Amino acid sequence: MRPAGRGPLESLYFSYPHFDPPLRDNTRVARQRVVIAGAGPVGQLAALALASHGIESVLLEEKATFNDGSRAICVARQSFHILEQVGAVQACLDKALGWTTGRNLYRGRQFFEFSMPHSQDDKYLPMYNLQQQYLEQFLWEAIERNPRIDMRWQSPVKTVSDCAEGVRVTVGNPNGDYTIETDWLLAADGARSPIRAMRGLRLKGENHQGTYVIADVRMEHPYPTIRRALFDPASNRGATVLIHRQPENIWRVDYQIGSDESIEGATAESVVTKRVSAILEEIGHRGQWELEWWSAYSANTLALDEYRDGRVFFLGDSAHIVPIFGVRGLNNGLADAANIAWKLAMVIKNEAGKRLLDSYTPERRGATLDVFLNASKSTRFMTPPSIGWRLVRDAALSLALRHEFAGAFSNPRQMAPHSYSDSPATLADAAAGASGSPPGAVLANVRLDDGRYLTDLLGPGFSGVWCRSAASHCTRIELQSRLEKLDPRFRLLELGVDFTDADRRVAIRLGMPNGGFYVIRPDLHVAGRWFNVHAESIAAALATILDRAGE
Amino acid sequence: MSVSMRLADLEAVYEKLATAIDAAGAEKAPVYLAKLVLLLSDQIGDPQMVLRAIDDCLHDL
Repeated sequence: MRPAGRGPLESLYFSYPHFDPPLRDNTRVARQRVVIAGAGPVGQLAALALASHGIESVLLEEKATFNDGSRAICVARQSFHILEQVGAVQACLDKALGWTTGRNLYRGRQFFEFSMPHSQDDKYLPMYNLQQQYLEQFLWEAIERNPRIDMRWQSPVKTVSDCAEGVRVTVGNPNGDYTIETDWLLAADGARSPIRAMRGLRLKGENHQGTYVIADVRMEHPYPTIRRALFDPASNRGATVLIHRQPENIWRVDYQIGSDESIEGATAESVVTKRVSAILEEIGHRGQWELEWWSAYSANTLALDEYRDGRVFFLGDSAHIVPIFGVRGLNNGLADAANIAWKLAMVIKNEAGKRLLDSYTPERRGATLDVFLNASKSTRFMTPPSIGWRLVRDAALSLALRHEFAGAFSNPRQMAPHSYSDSPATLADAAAGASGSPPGAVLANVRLDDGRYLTDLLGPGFSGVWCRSAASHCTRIELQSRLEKLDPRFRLLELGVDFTDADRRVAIRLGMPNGGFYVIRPDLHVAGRWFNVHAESIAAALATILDRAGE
Repeated sequence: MSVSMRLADLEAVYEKLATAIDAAGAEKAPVYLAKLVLLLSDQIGDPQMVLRAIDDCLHDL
């Protein structure tokens, strides 16, 4: 909602462009490889990621402009790596505000400060605040430059039905509806996904107690980019407030409302103004401020049982809805898109068998269940659902003012990326016991001798990092030729040839001080690793992941 | 295993707790007691003992 007198797209700081629908003539190609429904950040990322793997797609969006509803702001480190892979990271970096620290206050007194892990080996900060509409704008700029993406605005999906080896989609268009047949359909059409309903699927899970009002305000407020959580503040007695800084002097103020309050009453402009005013006064803001936008929110942990339905894949909010407190809604959606994109691209190019696609649900639904576990904990702390949870939470807060250990209960546990250790698309650890990154985990990054990062050297397909030792018997040519047969884009990175490692920091950080080999998937998760480098067994392992065993 | 105290020591705890609950007042007594459990849990350092005590005290209320 916006203040009276301002239209739904009249922002104080962001200009929403208007996009025309495609001309009727542009819509006549009858058969497509991939159609993506929904050009929010997840659908946009899916189109860009597919394009980076050489696959063309049609991207359909119902609206004529960027998102004015969903308002994600926290973009995590791993999402920045994903944005880098699709050529959209620089604009995001230029605009976003990075942060590592959070502060929790109880009745106006700080009792806990946390820092998310960050080291000189990390290329990006653990978290950035960036308004969702900026992210969409920067992704759109990359889409516009990309000849492999056919973006169609004002083009809602109206019907979906199965056809031979594909899906038939009716697309709305102000100039006349039309039909597309596609080999694959990616449904990135949001929390209220029409495609999910058309397929007769339902999200399952829990609705949590507690409603928040989410308000964005514009003000000059000299406080660093540190996320603040206020428990039982004078300005919102008995409830919780979260405060985030965003680019362009925009501040996000989330405050919990009472269980006896109606959403209609609490979201009236005069009520929002009064309560935000009290909160701003409490955090020491004395100057002018303006309301930009607000909405109401309550926490849910909901997911589909299966993210694939025939030739339809569900990505982002259409597949899972998570509480905001773990900041994994947008981030997991982007990871969904990156995950399905490389797998689908390799299947379409006949570089992988169809069973590779079976790993999408367990990997990405596993990530959602991981979030549920953590987010349920933090949601119970932010918004205790019953007298018992409330008493113990209040006891912990009160205790934490004088006893440091109790502050840890309030840690929001903003999470590291999920590890795919049990997935069919990762291997058993042939270097079990080594430190570093086991199969399934995101590859630990390393700052190299020349200032670049290990991730800068990885290719768009699978990559191999060879911490070569004097004892390696294998030859580069043998490895390269065997692995390229499986993935033509395979990039071999050999210590001493492709990168130097004067202090053996790469080898040590990867847990391979005496030599060894990592295979990295296109999404930067480790596929497998070995102490002993035998071209034949590494190639056989990659073939297994790609569902091409026996070739 | 319970840590045994002499009756006189236990009586001192009994009296101090009664006075402290009164000092906290009826409204704050529950949160005060919850806080006490969390602090003692940290100081005792034996999670199983605390978990058993939590179950035990639920009887015969």
